[in-house]
Amino acid sequence: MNNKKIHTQLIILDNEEINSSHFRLHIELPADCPHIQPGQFAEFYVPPTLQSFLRIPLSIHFVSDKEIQFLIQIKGEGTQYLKTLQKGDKIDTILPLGKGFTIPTNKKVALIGGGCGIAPLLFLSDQLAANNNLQHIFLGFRNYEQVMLIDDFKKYGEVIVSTDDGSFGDKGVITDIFEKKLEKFDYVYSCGPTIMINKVIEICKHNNLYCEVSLETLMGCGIGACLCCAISTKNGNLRACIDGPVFDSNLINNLNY
Amino acid sequence: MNITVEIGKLKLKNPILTASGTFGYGQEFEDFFDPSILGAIITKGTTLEPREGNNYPRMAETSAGMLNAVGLQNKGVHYFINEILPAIAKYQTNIIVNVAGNAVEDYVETVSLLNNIDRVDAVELNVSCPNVKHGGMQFGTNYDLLKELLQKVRKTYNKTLIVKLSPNVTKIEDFALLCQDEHADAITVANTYLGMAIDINTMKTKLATITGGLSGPAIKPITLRMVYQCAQVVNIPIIASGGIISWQDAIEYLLAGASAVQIGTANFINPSISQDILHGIEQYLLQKNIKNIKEIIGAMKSN
Ligand SMILES: Cc1cc2nc3c(=O)[nH]c(=O)nc-3n(C[C@H](O)[C@H](O)[C@H](O)COP(=O)(O)OP(=O)(O)OC[C@H]3O[C@@H](n4cnc5c(N)ncnc54)[C@H](O)[C@@H]3O)c2cc1C
Ligand SMILES: Cc1cc2nc3c(=O)[nH]c(=O)nc-3n(C[C@H](O)[C@H](O)[C@H](O)COP(=O)(O)O)c2cc1C
Ligand code: FES
Repeated sequence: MNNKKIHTQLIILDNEEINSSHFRLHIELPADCPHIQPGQFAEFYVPPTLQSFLRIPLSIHFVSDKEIQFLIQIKGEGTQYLKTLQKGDKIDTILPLGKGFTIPTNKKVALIGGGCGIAPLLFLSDQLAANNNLQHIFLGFRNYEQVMLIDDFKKYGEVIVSTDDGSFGDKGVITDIFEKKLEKFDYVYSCGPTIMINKVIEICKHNNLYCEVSLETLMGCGIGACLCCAISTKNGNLRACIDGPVFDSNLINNLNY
Repeated sequence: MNITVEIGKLKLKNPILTASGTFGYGQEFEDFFDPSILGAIITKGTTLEPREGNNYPRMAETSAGMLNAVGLQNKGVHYFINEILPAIAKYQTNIIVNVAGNAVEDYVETVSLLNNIDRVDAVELNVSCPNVKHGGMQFGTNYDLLKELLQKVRKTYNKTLIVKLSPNVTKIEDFALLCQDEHADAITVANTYLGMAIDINTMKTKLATITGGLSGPAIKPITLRMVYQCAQVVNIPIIASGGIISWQDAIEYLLAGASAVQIGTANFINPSISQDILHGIEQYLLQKNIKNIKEIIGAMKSN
């Protein structure tokens, strides 16, 4: 069963620019906030525009004793609006939503993130470290300009970075690097573009590694009511927002979107 | 103040209902408000056999609305009766089951099962789902087919029967009258409008099924017009469903002739919106010094 959710106005503490297309929102942790698991997400209300009026789902990027952070890529009007928020502004939020990652103790684990898909992995990494897990963190970006948050991850384990064009770190897609450096990981976690996730699932299946992936779909409600967020699995169509967004990769049929 | 309304044999403590497919089974909303405050909960479309629904993507945002093509994903009526109903039976409100099917026999068998279940207070016959290949909207847009369906269902189901009409017809009053003639207790006006959207970057349709059902504030003026038109020709109660996002929208529907309203897509934006709308209506009646909500049903005047 998923934990309790709250619907509340949260206060922005800081809006940190990361690079030309990404920023990080620091939001005050509400006093009545239920326990948040890495991999869970929030739904933000942004003022409706002529194009859209539904909420925006965003992964919980990091949680400290004072704040909740979100790492956001500017895509369309909604994320552009979030970019304009400043210290003291309020944002209507529903959280924490969905099912998060499993956190083991004393295991050897690998994290594979691509682009903005690294968002939920930072809090995951923090919690894995708190439970004495040995981490190998694989982060892939398009090019040097897009590389971000390496130092944040370095606190928790060995970080391996690649860029598609080789302008930073290893050259190539991160899944190839992951495959080359494969070890007997007890747990593998991944979040990122569909093509990357499919590849990670394939590698893990081939090598008999347990893997959890965080999946993004379009969402109507974010709370399990509309069935718009269908993920095709071995157990039939499941809802990304409440049965996920984190799934055991063995369940997932090839993602084709 | 009296805000109770009657729909067939049902007495609703207030006219606020949640629309099928937008409110899960209520449980999803428990953290935000108590579903017991509602006049009724209407379940997700329920079919005889389990259905997996359509492929992803199943939704697209549009101007002041959304398209959906969920395709009636549900675990079937047996699962509903045995697993879901016991969990929601605690709500102190009416439970209305939205029933869909591929063929007349499916509908008949499904409602005959529900007829014996005490906690199911009414059935809303979904003859208007635009997102399934067979059945669905076919019944709601074909007069003769709907007539046959209603005759058979009415013979089998003797509790309150509501028929949810399709707005994708030329003259909805004809269908409303048919429902009245075939002894339906009430009609819901209306389901979603058939629509589509294309992603100009990928040049692909935004929905896997190409077309889907349009809901949300964009459709309100059209559905409002249909509620008004139906109210001119039938005496059975009308339940309005289409684009309600505020208490003002709900009042408009009551004035046009609806006895109750359903909150749909708006649940996605504000999960406790039904509660807000209920309070808004109470305030309105108080301010206007209206003692009984029935005084405003169909009370619109022309300009
Ligand atoms: C569980 C979950 C967690 C997410 N976490 C993050 C995160 O941590 N950081 C982040 O930057 N983004 C995240 N996203 C994606 C984010 O929700 C979308 O980028 C955002 O809704 C786009 O809104 P917009 O109004 O700016 O753009 P729009 O104009 O709505 O869309 C711009 C483009 O993005 C696509 N898009 C819109 N919504 C989604 C979506 N939900 N998933 C995938 N593509 C989408 C659209 O099809 C369109 O091509 C997450 C999505 C989900 C479902
Ligand atoms: C995601 C989604 C799923 C729906 N599923 C059903 C359904 O199973 N059965 C049904 O009769 N109507 C279904 N509907 C239609 C709604 O119940 C409602 O009639 C319609 O959305 C118009 O109202 P609204 O604009 O307030 O949403 C669905 C609508 C949406 C948006
Ligand atoms: S987004 Fe509505 S059920 Fe998942």
